[in-house]
Amino acid sequence: MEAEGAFLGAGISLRRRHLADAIVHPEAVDFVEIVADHYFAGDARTRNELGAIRERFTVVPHGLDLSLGSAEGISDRYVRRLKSVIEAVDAPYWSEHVAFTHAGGRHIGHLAPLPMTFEAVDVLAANLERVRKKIDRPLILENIACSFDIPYSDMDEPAFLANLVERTNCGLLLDVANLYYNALNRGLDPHAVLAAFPLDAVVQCHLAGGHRAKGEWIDSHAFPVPEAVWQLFEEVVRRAPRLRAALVERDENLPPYAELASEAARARAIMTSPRTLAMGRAS
Amino acid sequence: MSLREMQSALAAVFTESDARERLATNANTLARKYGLNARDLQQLNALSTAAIATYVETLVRKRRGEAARYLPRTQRELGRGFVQAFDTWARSTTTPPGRHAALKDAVAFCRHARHDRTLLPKQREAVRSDLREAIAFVRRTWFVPRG
Repeated sequence: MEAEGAFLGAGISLRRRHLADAIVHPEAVDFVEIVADHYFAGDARTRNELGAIRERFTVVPHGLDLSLGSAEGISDRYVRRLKSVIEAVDAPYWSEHVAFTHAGGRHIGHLAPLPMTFEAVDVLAANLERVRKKIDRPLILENIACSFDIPYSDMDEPAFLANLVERTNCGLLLDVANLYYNALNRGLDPHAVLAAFPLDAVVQCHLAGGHRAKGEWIDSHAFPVPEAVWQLFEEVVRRAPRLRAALVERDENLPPYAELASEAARARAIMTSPRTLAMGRAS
Repeated sequence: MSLREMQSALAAVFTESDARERLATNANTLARKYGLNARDLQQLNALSTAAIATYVETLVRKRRGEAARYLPRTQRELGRGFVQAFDTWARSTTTPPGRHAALKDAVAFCRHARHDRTLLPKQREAVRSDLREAIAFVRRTWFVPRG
């Protein structure tokens, strides 16, 4: 499986507001994820910033807008920009979403859900093949947050992702919060959804906290990781043999760097806890 | 199903209030415009309007989060009012086409807000300052917006 490798540990999604603190205290986290799209400008500021991050951290770039699920294909220009960021930070691997963000000449500006169909698996596999010809670092694919499914799909999300993995040999980035909130919004038991998830392929996890608004759970990345997500994460650690990294995401209500780092420390403790690992071996 | 046509229709529904209106009132016109077959149309019709509304709100929130990177002074001066001001404006506008949507959104929001008489003079000055910075950023990099 692609992106398998040595244990990377626990990190954070690095935002510009934390950059100064992160540069002074790189020891607080094991690695950082950066949003690749934020570094496409290629100007002196972004080059210097990337250089400073690269000097201190292992960096995993995270793409937002490749639109791997677009039936009309992907942008070669976007792929070139991704490649330049991935190479600038010498990333061990990088990540993107199982989604589409543009179609019919429109840029949606957000990750949109794919129908869980065999045709969509074909499209993802074809686009992925095109990306692999240009970027020679492993890619892992993330499950998105969305409060609804496209009706009349051929399968559910775990089966869809299992198909995708089988077809492409890609590793998965399991966003535990996305899985949790998606399950709640559909009236499903998150632990049952997790049980069906292709955990053998999970290489990395995202952890975040959302909120409830107008009866829906929103994965807003605005709050600390809730206990229910930590519990699911413990289950993932026990059952995902290829898991090598986890990170805490925060995009709104940004707390101090130290607070995010302490959440990452909790993730690290879970990943390295002898009790968690022993339970995994026994199950 | 024809994924390409379906995605085009979905992209329109997610980003344009006109397309959402058409889906609710006369879905056949939407189907014709995007070349949807009967099954595609059945799928679109099966999407709940509440689910689409929630998605659109998430999209507005996302647009705000991304555009806010280019609006530091505006955020500081408007405080909590920034969320309401941006979201109200974003709901009445279409997601900018093409790449660099966040920068286009930031510039368009500033162009709208700099004339907003409900803002205090120092808030409008913050908006103008961010607008100048955003345009300077555009000129420093590779991308020149039109309009």
